Amino acid sequence: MKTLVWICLIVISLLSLFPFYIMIVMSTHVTEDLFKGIPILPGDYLGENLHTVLRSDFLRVYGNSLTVSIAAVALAVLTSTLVGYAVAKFEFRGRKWLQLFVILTMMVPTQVGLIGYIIEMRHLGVGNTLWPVILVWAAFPFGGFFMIQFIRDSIPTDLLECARIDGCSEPGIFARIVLPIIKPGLATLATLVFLWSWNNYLLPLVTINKANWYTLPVFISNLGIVHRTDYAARMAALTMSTVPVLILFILGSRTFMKGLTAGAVKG
Amino acid sequence: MDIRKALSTLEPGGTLKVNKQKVSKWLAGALPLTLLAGALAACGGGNSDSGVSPSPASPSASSGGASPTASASTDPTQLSGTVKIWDWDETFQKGMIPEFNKKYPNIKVEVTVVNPNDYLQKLQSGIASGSDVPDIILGEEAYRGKLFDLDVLDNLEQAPYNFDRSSVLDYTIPFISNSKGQVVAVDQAITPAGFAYRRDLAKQYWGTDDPAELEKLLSTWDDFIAKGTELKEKSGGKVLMFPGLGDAFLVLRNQNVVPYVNGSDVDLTAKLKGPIDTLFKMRDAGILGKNELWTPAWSASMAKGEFMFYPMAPWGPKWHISANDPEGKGRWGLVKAPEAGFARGGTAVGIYKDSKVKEAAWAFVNFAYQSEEGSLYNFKTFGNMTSNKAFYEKEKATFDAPGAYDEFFGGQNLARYFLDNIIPDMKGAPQSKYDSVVDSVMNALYPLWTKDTSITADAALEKFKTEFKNKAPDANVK
Repeated sequence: MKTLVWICLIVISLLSLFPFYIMIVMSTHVTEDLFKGIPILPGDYLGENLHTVLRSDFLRVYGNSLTVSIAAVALAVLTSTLVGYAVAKFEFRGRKWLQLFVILTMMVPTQVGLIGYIIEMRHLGVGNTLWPVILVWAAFPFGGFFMIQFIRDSIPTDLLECARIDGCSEPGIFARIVLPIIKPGLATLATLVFLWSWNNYLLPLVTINKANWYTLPVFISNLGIVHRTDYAARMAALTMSTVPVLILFILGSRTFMKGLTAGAVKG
Repeated sequence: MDIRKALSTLEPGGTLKVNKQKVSKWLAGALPLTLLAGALAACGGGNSDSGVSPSPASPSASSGGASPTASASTDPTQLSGTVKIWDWDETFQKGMIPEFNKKYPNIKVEVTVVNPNDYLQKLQSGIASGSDVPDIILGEEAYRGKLFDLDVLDNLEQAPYNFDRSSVLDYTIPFISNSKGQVVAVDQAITPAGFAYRRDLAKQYWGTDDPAELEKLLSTWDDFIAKGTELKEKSGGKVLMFPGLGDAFLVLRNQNVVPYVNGSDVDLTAKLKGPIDTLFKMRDAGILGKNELWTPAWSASMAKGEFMFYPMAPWGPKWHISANDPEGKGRWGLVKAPEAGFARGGTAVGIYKDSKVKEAAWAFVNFAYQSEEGSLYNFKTFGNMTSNKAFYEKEKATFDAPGAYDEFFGGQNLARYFLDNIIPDMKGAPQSKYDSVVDSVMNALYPLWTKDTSITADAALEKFKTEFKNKAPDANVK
């Protein structure tokens, strides 16, 4: 039985890792060769492909993406946690309304608000910079919703009452009691926000009009597009942009799993 | 501040009795809101800062736009400003801008690389939100008609451009005109097309690989079908005329340049009946392959020698034929299509009507795509051919000399062949926003026609109309 489980696990792992392997192998071939069949063995064109990628400001674009994603994580986690804590654990006027509002805004597709958002950013004077791509995470309805649920399920109100009786200040309770308990939730949210902002395409596409501020997905889609699409170079760039996300996921996978499954089973 | 005011109105009935717990509840509710207010205030601060920073460019830019035409046209150094252009071909701009700056040292040209697939979406959101829009706008074949109908490009025949439509090759005028007949762009490069053909196969099965001989053999589509049938029989079905219905259809459709759009009346019968009839004759004669355009098998077929012809414009030798058949030096040739030349691809370059640097933008467009210096550099470096008539008379020697891919094509002078044999009887097709709809319907349908040979030409046209109506419900389709 155990061997069967292992075989299943190995097969599933291979199946899910295969696309990554192909991506890496494709980045070592000439584009035209990619169409002759799926390449299994690495080719000898990696140097050229890397050259194509690095020739065009890849490192700066990488820096832009990192800046955006890290700022997005900080901003989204901060606001979402505060919203979540407030709505989940405090009784105040408009609380239900606020929660409903968070859920409602989740239902509005980004595309609908896009033009309005660009106009807003232009009036704030931050059009054509990285700010629009970062600030969009300041009001992140999914994050708010996720933290409301997470805090409601994982923090017993009695615990907060105890802390109050013992004389802990409200910010103290938040920092010393709530934050340590919701670590898995924070990690999950941070990973998700990082991933989404790292892969975000539409928003940087329409808000950034300066090649200096392009982020990775927009940059990669602009790579080798004249008359012939240089898929091999794109694969090389994709490999380089996927690896950090993979590492992040591997590092955070333990807490990440905990966060995703928390609240799934009610005791 | 507004948020605090809003919060105070939420306060119940102005009670002064405040207990600690209530404060904490309020605090919790107010915390995210004040934070948001803080974030907004911070952004507001950024506003005043960054509001100033871009302005050094704009006064000089507007002064460039406002400078008197007379002095500007006599002395290029008088023109100044920053011109923004969105292009997908960064290599071209990186080469052309330094050339341009030799003559116009005070005009700065800023390039943003934009994928042609995203171009229109990015442009439209820029225009709708009033944010950044480039001064020079490029319209690729796939969305050129739509771009012209957006009405965002300036009429180039008016001041300050004063472009003269008689200065460019006659057939190109419809490609650069909007539905009102105004010339709103210039061609980035001309894209007359003929067929690239396999010399070895032509020699083997038809006894000649000479373009002039082949032209005679294939002067009408009926000849083409007859020769195709002969080829199929002689080769035992191993060699066919075109790799697929897509290739044949793009030739037939682009050869038929009848104006088929009038406002929202779309006469698909006039545009497509002839092409579809001929296409189905070819399909039923069994002279077309089963490949779809741009698929791996389609690309690989060039080196394999399974098909005689591939439609090809001047950008084809480099990006198309030699890229997919790197070992094929000497075994390719170029011949005119039966009945008439046709256009394939092509990009129109226009100027945004609300640009603040119109003169500087025009200086660049004119230099890069029309002037003698720019056109010469363009041809020698990138192989692009200008639409400017006078250039071909002045630079006759350049085109008589061998070009970069002539050897690959068995020593045939490709540029001369395009100019002398293909262009003279070419006609341009009027552009419309419905062109891209025709394109997408075609791409969806021709694979079906390839597979299901029971579909007749008439049924295909009807199906085409239905699909077209689904994608363009506002059109009255005939």
